[in-house]
Amino acid sequence: MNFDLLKNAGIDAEDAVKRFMGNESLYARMLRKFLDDSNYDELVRAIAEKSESEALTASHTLKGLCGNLSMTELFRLFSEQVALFRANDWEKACEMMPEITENYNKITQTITTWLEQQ
Amino acid sequence: MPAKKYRILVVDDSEINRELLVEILGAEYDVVEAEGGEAALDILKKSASEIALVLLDVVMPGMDGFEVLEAMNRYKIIEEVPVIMISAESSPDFITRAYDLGAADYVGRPFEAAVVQRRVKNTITLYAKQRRLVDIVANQIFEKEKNNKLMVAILSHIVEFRNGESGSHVVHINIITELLLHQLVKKTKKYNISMNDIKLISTASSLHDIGKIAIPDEILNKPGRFTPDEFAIMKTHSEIGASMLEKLKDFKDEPLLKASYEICRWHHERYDGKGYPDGLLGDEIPISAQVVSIADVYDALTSERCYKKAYTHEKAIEMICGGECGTFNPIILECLKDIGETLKNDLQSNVQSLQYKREFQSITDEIINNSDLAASGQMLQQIEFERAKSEFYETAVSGAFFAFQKNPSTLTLSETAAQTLGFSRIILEPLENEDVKNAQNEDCKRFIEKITAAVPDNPTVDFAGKFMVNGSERDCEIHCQTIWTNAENPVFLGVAGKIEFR
Repeated sequence: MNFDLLKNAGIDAEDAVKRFMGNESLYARMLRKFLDDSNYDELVRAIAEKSESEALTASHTLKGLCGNLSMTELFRLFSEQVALFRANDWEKACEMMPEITENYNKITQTITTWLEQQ
Repeated sequence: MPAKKYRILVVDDSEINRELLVEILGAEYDVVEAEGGEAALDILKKSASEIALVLLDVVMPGMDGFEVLEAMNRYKIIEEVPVIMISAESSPDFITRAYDLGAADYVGRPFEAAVVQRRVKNTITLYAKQRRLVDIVANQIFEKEKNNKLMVAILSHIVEFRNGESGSHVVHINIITELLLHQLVKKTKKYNISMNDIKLISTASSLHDIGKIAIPDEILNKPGRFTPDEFAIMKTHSEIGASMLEKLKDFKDEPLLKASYEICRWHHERYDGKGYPDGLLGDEIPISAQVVSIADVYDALTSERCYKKAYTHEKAIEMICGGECGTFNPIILECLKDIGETLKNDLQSNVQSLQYKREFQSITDEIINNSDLAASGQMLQQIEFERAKSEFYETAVSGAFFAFQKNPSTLTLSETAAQTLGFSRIILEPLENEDVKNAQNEDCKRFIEKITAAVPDNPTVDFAGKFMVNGSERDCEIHCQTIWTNAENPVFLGVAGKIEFR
């Protein structure tokens, strides 16, 4: 598999595949799952409804997912957001959303394109 | 029959996370999933004994990972089922909290699949070993305790026989001591008495008078009052008994011996310091000796002796509490009064049922009072359940069943099998047992060869032949199954099966 497209979007696919014991198809399957995952929508909803605990849970889960899939930039953003939620800095955590959304959309689009090519 | 896969419970609210773990572990384990803490706890409460490991996410909606750990502590599941926490949380506070709550390990996200596999395997191996060890130790303790009790009973009856006593004195002291100790534990934690201590002390209580073996007959069995000189000689029995035990150097660290020593030496001490041989005061007297001394006095008063009639229960209590037999620890006197009804109604008339009640009480008390044991309460219950189940099956189908366990080498027979074969129901080291050896013939050897040749993939053995049954050869059919460990390289554990006598 050629991972260049993913790499350019800030996904360290080779690192992830290494952690998946070299199983490329497993990694590809997990990327497809990521597209179907509802935690991002949950996060957006929780922020709109000002539900702090639900927002934290969703952001935290996304942090773990992005970490496992080696989405380096997105992992950093969610880590930062989780820290802000934990510090009860709701305002600042919410202010991160435009940047997170932009990055998230870029990543999901790239994955969609990449999966179609496989 | 392929080896059974260990079952792992994966608890994570994110489907991707669960699926990733299923992918990583599914080939080697039977993976069960739970979407949240509540669902996980349901599964654990229903079937903790079937779960070899829990992989637990920390941050989840509803009940989170820490709350699951707390609940596992509350239900005492945490000692039996290891938990590996998996979380993107990397702050030391979180990790420490997980360990404090009893987690076996902590894996951070993002994780290496190979690391997860290895940690899962290590943790399961460690706990599986521990579980087997607990079983084996429990078995051995049971057998050892049975043997201990037998030896103690023989020894103490020799002493009683010489004293011209009925033989029930030792049994009574044993029962009273145990009842008093159970009551004492309920009343106060001051003496730090474990359930194991209770067993030890009551077993050891039988030996309280072994020193009397060295007292001359004419004094020991004198019907009238002692002269001061005679009394002085009689009093030496406590020191003599203790020094007899002290000379058993090889066993000097045995808890049973220590307890017996205390009881022999100090069961005539009194709480106000006016007893003998050392004039110990108050709690200088070991609690074991304090309890046995009251049990001894109570039974002496309520039993008939060559020099006196039996007092009633009420009179005996009155005399003991009134200080007519010396001063005792007030807490133990209270305990004596508390167990008065049981003593009065059952001690003289119904020793058998009392013994049964005691056994039952000690099992329940053990689970309720002893936190260590309560931790494995679920396991104890499981064992009890299995035992009851197999006993029921055995009687329901009234067949001749046998089970051989390799380590410790034990042959267990059903009632029918034991009767027909003329063996005892439990035979330790059967290959060394004379009855078993005498019954060996050619077919028996062929049968053992066939069992030895069985392999885990084809564990059943069917055999027909002539076996020695109560001295003569008889046609039998045996259907049995060899039992192996689940591990990668299965180890032979034993064999269980049914004998049909033709």
